[in-house]
Amino acid sequence: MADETPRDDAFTRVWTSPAGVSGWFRTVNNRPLGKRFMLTASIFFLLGGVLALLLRVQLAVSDNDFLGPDVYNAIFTMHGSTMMYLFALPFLEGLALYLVPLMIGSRDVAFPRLTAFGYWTYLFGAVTFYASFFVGTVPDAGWFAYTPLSTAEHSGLGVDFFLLGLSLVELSGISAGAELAVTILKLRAPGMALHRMPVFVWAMLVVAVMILFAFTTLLAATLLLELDRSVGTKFFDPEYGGNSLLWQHLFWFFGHPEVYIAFIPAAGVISMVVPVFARKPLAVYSLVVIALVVTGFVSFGLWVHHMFTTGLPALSLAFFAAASLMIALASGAQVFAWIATLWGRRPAMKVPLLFVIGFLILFVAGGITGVMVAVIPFDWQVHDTFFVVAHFHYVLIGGVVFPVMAGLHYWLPKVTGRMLSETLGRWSFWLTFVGFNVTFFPMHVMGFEGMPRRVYTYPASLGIDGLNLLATAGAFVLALGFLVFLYNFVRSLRRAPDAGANPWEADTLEWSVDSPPPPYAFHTPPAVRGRNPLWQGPPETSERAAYARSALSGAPGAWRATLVTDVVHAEPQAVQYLPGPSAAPALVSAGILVAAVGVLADVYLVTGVGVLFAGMMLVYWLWPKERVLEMLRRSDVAFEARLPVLTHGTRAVGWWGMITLITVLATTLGVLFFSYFYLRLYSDRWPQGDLPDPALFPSAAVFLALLASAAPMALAGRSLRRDHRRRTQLGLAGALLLGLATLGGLLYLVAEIDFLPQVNAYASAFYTTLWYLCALVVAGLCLNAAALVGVRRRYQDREDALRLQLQVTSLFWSFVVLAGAGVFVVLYLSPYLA
Amino acid sequence: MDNETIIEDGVRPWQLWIGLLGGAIAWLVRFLLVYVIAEWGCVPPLPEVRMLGMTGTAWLLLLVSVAMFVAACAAAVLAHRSARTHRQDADDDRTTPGRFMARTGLLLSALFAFIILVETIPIFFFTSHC
Repeated sequence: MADETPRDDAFTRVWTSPAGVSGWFRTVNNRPLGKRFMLTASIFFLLGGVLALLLRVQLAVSDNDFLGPDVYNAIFTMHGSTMMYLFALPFLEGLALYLVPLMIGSRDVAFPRLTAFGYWTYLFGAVTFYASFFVGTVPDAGWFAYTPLSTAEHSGLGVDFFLLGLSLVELSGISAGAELAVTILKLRAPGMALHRMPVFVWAMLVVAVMILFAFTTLLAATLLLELDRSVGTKFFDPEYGGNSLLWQHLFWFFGHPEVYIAFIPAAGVISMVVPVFARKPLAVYSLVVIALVVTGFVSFGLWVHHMFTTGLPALSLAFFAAASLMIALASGAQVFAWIATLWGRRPAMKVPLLFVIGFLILFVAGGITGVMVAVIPFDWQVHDTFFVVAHFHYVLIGGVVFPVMAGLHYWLPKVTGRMLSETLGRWSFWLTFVGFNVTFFPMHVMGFEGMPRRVYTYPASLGIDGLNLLATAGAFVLALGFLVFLYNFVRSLRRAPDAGANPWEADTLEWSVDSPPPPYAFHTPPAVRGRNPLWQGPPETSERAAYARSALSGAPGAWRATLVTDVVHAEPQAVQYLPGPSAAPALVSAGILVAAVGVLADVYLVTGVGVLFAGMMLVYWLWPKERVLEMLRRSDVAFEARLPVLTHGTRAVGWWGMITLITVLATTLGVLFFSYFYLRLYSDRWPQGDLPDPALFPSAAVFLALLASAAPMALAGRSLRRDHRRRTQLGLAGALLLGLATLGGLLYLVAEIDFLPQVNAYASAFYTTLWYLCALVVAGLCLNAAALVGVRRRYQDREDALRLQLQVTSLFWSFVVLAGAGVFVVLYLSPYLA
Repeated sequence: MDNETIIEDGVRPWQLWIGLLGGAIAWLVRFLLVYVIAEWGCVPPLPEVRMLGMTGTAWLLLLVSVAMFVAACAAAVLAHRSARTHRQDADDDRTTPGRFMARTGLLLSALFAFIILVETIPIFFFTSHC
């Protein structure tokens, strides 16, 4: 069922991305940006692959001197970092940004400009990463950047490139997480209730929420390490009360979920491909969804299984070992569901399914060795050997790259409109499958024989030269398999048959539109009545959905719109205005890049300019545009659809966006609190050194002022609902004044501190937490001031947009007040507890 | 009508959400607490208190585990009640979103209760932790 021809040129024009070089910077549509994410990530995959081949050449024979130890360290750091940070996640984000809106029947994502911001930030971060090659100081502390290897005393400027580049990439990941979560919750087609969501969409919802916690933790941790390196704080310096293990805790709290953040979307891909080629719906859909949710949660309880040899209490290790074993339940349930789906009827053995079968074999093997290393005594034996290298490559290549290859063979015809060659696809599969096993299976044995990982060579006396040579030969076969795929892809663009709308006779909504999809994706918003909409008859929609779909059929022609539906039932709630092309997201990213370059060059004036520029561009991006509001007010769409265009509360995507922002900021505060107490746990005295306990009196007054500001803010919200303009203004002004008093008080407290953040780890944690609270208060004050201006200018309309603005301001301010209370308890009260 | 508060067959949305995510949240809270107690639990006086051969730290860990196990079971019971309340629908999927959430919640919360139980076993091997 291909989409119909648009009745109105204006409708097509409004959705078309701008042309030319400037248009390239202003594009905000999800599909061009999704493609850019995937293409950029693929380039980094090739670069990471070349680095891997260099490593294998070095290890092909014992006592080799092809690469020296320093170069080897730099290359394995860049290989791991490239594959984990610059390829796996960004590629899957791109795939999800491209596919999720199509699968759920939306014309775009909830915050298109955030998608653009995410792409530019990712690109700038990745370029920063690789720029280290050009200045001759490549990161060499591993993709995990363990302290003290990564501290200023033991590493060069390369680690700064690593940390700052990584921070930008993490920011991009967090923006994609927020984007996908809100899109999936609020922009599904009418009828696509929770129990009808495609499994890939479920997978991306789970991953999006995981990203908000995991990536934020890493972002906060990398910034703390960068503070240690560039400002001289002491979070990770044991000589001054810091703790190297703190970094490992923070890193692996991200690092282990990260593996599942890559695996869960891959599992989602498998759950989409298997039913299509098995020609029947996925077996035990509910169980697969449960498995995804369990994996998402339990993956946060595994981080210490990377730290079994660090001397943590035995009881802690036992808890984490048990959790590591439990997660196998969830993965196993999915494997059985896929096998059950394939069982019984002869499946269509096309290339995507070949890669799925390859995945099943490799992932089960990797999963079994995962259970083995979850057993503490076994882990002690194989820790830091090539057995672990074999295990995680089976999980990451077998469990992620093979599903990605299955997904590419399956969805590329939708993206390009051209079919890939089956013959070349089969060549590619067999070369990668055989090459992979020849490369990585021998590594299990090498590990048992005692070959250490992360060491540039090994002695001939280990007797593993033959296995290493075999692994190196396998690596080249594996690389050839990927090159054959690349050739197949390029060839398909030139001389391959048209794919048509649905070449696989698949069941989900993305196959209902042309290949490649038109810029608006759906001429008429689709509706669904089951999990396999294209295998079922036309949907019977509610009256509300019928009006909404009719009003949005080839319309509006002046602005971009899609339907908002409720979280559980996917019943229409509103028509969502989606902003059009803008350079603001790229400019905000550029400002952040300039700030990072300033830190790298040790010129903090440049950093200040970058931050200021990014802030100004952010205000320009977010400031409500009167012209747009007027256009929306005058639009007929709301009347025809019988739905509001400007709305508030849980109906509005902006409300959900604020919830995701608060989640990210609260997680950051959680990292600071965790660091504070972790440092305290291993300190003989607290505050460390001869520092005094913090004074209670002036600080209590400051935090009471912050607490008091919640009352006028609540008054403002209630007054707006009751249509009291003056009281609304008074409430906002009261909260603003008390907020300003709090900020002044906080600055006074900082000025009164008679020690520097560089004195010891306590001082570092104290200052950093207090400055973070200051930043939150400033952000809250800006939102408050903007709301006050909104009430003054637009109150007469009493429109829902203003109500939404006040709601998100109030939500944010409530968070700031709670954060302030937490900071007071942790920094000022807790030292008095014995 | 605000669709966020649609009530199916008398089951309120919060009941469905607690049934769906209650077990998982209980597991998460329990996990973070036992991690903190295991790391911090060697600070006096907890390790010095001994009852029935177990230190105060081990008792505290057990208490937290039992409490969260009960919470996960309660979420499962809530989900079970919601599942019974929801009528079977003639829809092609033979279910409604509420029924799906209730049944999925029942399985999910029961599974997390089981995981809590399994992860409690190590406490009995480290009764003299510290």
